[in-house]
Amino acid sequence: MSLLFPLGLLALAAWLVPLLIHLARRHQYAPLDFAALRWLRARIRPRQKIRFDEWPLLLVRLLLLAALALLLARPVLHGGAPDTHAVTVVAPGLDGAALRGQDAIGDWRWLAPGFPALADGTPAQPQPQPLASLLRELDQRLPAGAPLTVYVPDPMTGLDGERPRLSRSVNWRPMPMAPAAARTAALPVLQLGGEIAEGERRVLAALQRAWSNQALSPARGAGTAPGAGQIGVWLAAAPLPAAWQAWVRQGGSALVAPGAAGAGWTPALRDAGGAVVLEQRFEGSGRLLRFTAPLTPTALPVLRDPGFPRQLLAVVAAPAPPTLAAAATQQPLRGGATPLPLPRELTPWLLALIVLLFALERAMATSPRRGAGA
Amino acid sequence: MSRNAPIAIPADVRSRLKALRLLPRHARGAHGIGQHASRSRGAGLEFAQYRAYEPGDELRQIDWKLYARSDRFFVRESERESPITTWVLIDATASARQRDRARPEWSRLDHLCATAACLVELALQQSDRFGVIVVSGEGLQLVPAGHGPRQRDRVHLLLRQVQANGAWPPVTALAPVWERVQAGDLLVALGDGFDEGGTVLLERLAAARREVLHLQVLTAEERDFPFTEGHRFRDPETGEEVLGDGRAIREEYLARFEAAQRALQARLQSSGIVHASGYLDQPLDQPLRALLGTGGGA
Repeated sequence: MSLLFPLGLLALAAWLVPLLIHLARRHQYAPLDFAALRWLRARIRPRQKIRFDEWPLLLVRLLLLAALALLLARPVLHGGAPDTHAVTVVAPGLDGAALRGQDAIGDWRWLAPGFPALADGTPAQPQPQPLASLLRELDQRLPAGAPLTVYVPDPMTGLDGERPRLSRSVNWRPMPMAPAAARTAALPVLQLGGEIAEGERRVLAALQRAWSNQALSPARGAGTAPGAGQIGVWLAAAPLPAAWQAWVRQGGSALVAPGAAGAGWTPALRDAGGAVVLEQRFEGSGRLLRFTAPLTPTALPVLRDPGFPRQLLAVVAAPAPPTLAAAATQQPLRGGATPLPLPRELTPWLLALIVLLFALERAMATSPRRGAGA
Repeated sequence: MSRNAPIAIPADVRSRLKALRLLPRHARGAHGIGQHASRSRGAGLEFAQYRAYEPGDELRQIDWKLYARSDRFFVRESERESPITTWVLIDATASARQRDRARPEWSRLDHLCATAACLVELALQQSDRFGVIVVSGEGLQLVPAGHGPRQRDRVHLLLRQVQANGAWPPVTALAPVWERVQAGDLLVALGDGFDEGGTVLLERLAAARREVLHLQVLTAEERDFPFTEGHRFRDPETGEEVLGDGRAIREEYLARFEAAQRALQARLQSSGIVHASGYLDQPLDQPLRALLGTGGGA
């Protein structure tokens, strides 16, 4: 047993109060009629020894205060047999009730933040949490030795850079389930804005044709920002309008004129000779792109390269990382850190003890027998 | 017991009372028909003496068989059994208010009055005359001697309104006792025996040919001294106070109290006063049995 807040034991100073009360009461003698007084020999100082009145009541009061101080000190109990019952978790999206079937005794939970019980219904998730991270958390929460069964959809989502490495072997149960929605690769669309030279416009139109075989849409004004999935192009001499800047900060990508102001430009694309062709600068959660030269074949010879549209596409619209994996390949590895044993909080027991002691103290302090003895 | 409630003798005590007799050792009845030996001679069962015939004696009283033997007239006389007069003297000084903490509604005065009621019942059973004298700080209250159930009611009326207060009155205030209690009467004194004046009165009464019995009623606390804490003890009669720790002074108190009790018993015994002690936590008739069982001599 240890204390999380040992300073709480300073509350034991409150012991002084009942001790003083029970000492002080000794001086309030009620006169007691005693007819055979003449055979009493007085000892004016009966006892110099400190003696407490009503020591059972004093004892209960001291115990009550000690329990309160202990409650403040927040004791936790180490050791004890850990609760190693089998736990089964089901990833959200699977039909938990069907998987559980007739098993009414086992501890079934959702693989969701807080690990709510299966009987509580499907957990409401504001944002889906990565399953791998939840698995690691659950592994650390469960005491060592508790068998763990995991139902995951196959193919599964919610993975991160490493296969989960857990402290225990897991009964891994992939359940075939179609992924929610097949992601279609969206090709970027160039959206012009402001004034633009005819030569540059032709280059951009050719790039658009090369990417998606579509014509350029009409240029937008300064007040209208590009939409989602588009790449804004603002090659005018005027600085980027406020609406566009806000759009960029929220995650858009905009191509600005060469020599655009700002620091922190980094190379994004080089030509065959190693010269920097395209630079980028992150702005908020979006980014700004600029060519190192005006967008003409004479100024930028790389434009003549037939592979340039593909290289540029790889820069402006990088392929999304994979989110799905075959669940059978993602079975957690062994060898994770053993979970630390969780100390048990004693607060509920202490509270019950305090209530009990308080009731006892009141019963003793207000009993009619006590008044007769005073 | 509430002071206004009638004095009820518990049924078990009442049934045991039937076995008791108020038998005086030397108190003699004077007149009337009763259960006690008397000095008056006449017709009766117990043979007393023969005496010579005197003119005026009834002829049927002459013992003719003796005349046949001795040729003289003799009159056969018997002792007449007469009632005696029983007095109950109750000490109602302030010390009679003493009560046990274990039974706070039952004071020594309650016990004394209930014992007096028992004695009155005994006297009534025996057709004796009886009266009650209550001694308190305010002086004497008494019911003159009489007999019969109405006398009992008069006694109960007095017992019910008795209040304990004051200290033992001076000798001059006790003159009515000497006027009422005549030589040859039986007097049962009920009290705690703590008052020197009371003991002196009993000694003088006994010396003046009154048969005196003393029944001392003590509380259980006076006997056991069960105090374990500090208390301020107060004498109800003098108001004197003593601060003491119960545990510390118990031994000495018990020893001194025991010695005082023995001294009182020896003193009463030397005066020919029969003595018995009763306690508040004991039945009413227990000391009466000790008192009357040995006291009944005649």
